[in-house]
Amino acid sequence: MTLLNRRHFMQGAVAVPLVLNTDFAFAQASADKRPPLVVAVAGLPATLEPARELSNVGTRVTYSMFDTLIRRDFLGTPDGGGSELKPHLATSWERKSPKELIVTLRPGVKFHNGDEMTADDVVYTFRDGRLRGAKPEIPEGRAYFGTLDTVEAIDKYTVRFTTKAPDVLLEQRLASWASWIVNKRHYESVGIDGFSRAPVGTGPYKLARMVANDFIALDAFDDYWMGKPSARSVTFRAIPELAARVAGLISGEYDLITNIPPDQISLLEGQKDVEARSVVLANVHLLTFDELGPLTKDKRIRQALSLSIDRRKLVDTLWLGKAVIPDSHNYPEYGQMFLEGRKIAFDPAKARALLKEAGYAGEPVVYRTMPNYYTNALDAAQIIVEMWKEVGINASVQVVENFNQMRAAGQQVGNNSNSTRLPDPLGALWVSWGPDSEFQKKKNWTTTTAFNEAGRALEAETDPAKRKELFKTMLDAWDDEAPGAILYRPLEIYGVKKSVKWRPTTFYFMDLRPDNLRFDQLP
Amino acid sequence: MSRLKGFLWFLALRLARATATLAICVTIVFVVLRSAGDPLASLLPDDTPPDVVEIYRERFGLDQSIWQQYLGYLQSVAHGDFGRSFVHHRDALAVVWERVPATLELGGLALIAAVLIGVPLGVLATFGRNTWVDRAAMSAAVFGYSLPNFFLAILLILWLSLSLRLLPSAGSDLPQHLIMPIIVLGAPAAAKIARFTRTSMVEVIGQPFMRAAAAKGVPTRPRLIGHAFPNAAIPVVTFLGFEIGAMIGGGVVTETIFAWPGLGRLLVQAVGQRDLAVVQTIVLMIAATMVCANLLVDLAYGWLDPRVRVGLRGTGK
Repeated sequence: MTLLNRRHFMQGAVAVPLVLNTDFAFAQASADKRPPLVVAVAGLPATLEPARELSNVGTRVTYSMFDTLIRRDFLGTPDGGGSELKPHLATSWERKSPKELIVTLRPGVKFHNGDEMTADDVVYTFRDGRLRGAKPEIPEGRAYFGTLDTVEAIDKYTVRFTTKAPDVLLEQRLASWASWIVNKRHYESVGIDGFSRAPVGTGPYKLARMVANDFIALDAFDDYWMGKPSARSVTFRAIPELAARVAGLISGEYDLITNIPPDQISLLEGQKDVEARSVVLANVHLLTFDELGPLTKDKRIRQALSLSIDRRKLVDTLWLGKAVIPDSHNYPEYGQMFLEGRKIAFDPAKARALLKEAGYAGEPVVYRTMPNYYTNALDAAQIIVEMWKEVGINASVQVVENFNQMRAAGQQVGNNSNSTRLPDPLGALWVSWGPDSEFQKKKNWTTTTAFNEAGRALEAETDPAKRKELFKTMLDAWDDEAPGAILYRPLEIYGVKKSVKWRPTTFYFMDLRPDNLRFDQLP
Repeated sequence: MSRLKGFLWFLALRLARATATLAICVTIVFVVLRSAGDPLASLLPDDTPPDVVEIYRERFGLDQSIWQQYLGYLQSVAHGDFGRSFVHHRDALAVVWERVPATLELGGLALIAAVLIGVPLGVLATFGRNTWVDRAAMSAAVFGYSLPNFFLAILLILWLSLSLRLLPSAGSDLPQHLIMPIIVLGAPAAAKIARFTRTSMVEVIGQPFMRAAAAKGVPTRPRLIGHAFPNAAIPVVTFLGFEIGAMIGGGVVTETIFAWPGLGRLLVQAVGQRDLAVVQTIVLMIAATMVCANLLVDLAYGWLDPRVRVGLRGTGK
């Protein structure tokens, strides 16, 4: 009879760590020498219908599975926020009139199911009832394609888009995150809910397996028209706990992790094989001042609240100096629409003067914020309240659970974020603050005459110089009425293995196409 | 015959109580979730245009009055339809059901581990009552019980994954992913079981039949294992019944930190996103589990303690 003696036990104990830490994937090793890529994310999309998942969580995954007709070249500028348009599934496009665009498709592009992409798929993608119409399947699509009138196939590789009114942004809309081309045959056979779980696109990676809220595994689609993908597979793994994501990156389980707060940068930078890569997002965090609220109905009080915020101090303290203070709702990615020389003022003396002029006598001002919805929101609120006290405002912070509580009666100051959906004021400021926005619809901002007149004129205008002038009028009106106060453009920080050559973009897309992902040889 | 009648009464009363408990749970969850604000405000991004919000409100039936929604929901549940997830765009029951195996696997293994550690520890403490063995065992139990689960979880990740690189940090695809969650979920349960076992054993040891066994000359070990332990087991079994529910509830933190794809993690996400149908289904499922566990505990009493069986028979007469 063999007994387990002490020596055997110790040998076994020594072997345990080796066994436990073995990468069981070796069993699946194939002839494919490309490495797999494992991305640990804070959350995963619930579905993979790409136009349904218009969020940072969703688009990280769908960007690798689908293509748009036109590709916005984010990586064409050093900051990852380029706005030049490049051919993608479309080889060219031509404006026939301010309301008509003819798009020529790339021949020979394959879907994951082997079908060739043709004009029928494009027409099906943009059909009335999916992204546009009174009550489309995907209501979010209306914000992007509500302007479309017809989409018709001229021949197998040519499509005509017409809009109800002149739309200078149509090409940008076709490059946006609502515009992924879907496979008509598959979509029709499985319906929107079937497609949401088993999508078929033309992107560099195709779905292998999806377990809701756990992981989404993609395999390389080697017939991809831009060439073979650089990784043999990409797995997005949901790891909600930050410590687990960071530990997994450092120990080598993950190649890339998302949603890193600024205070973790130094930890990652201290490691040998990993680093933090950050990008300033096409998004601003801002305060909102409610005209229905006590005190904040007075424009001078709103202006004083904005003028007394030292944004540089916030950025240096909370974002390690890496976030950016924008020049109002006015971003370099607007290209020729960008207005040079505008700055957001920090002028406590002027703020005090405005408060005096408004007859402010120490009435309370309450700043409502959710603790974790926006990164650093609560810290920022506490610092801002102290800045307001410096100029004599009797301010305090009230922590709320959700937007309902924030916007409940009696609101004075809340917070919000505005994204640049399309690189133009009509795709950002006008969407966030225009007549269809929550602020105007709910009467939180009513002094809008000048702003709305200029915005409506901008919608119909095609001349670049006149458009720029109208944008200036809009911006002047917003800054003067001060329905809010911009704070900063926040950072998105990723933790990445140094061997993974990949650049982030200012939008939430995670570009893993062959031209933005490669792996250095291990020593 | 009268014995069967008595049992059927017992069962009918239990089932009526269970149904009332479930109905109260559903109502409370329904009211609390809706009084916490408009679910669409949590479900949709902050800059969603109001007209899009209204389309979703109508599509999800949130434009109806709260009474219409409540009665409609009760009617659907009675027909086995637990509603549709706002987030996953499919049946809430299917979304929840997918998570049950993972939770049962983790919760079951953690409970087994807790019993295997807690019961011997409690018995050991009784054997060495008021000696260093007792004190060491009970100190370990207090430590295991009082360490917050989120703290222990992060500590284990930093120690076993980051420093020693012995175990993967989080996930569910490898068997070793189970080890740390089992420790975190099982440690407080093992601690409670150890204390319960010790207390119960000490109480039984003082009973007259134990003195009789000692007087009869039964040696200490068989006396404790054969005579004391079966009698001391009843409170421990009661406790285990509650612990089954606690394993699911306690899994909320553990599953989230270790990215374990179970019910607890789904519950956190669903509450955060105000995915009403999913939250209601999970709460209903947890409540049903607790009710069933209590029923099983009641039945187990009869098996463990003949006096309970006699008592039951007596009620039928």
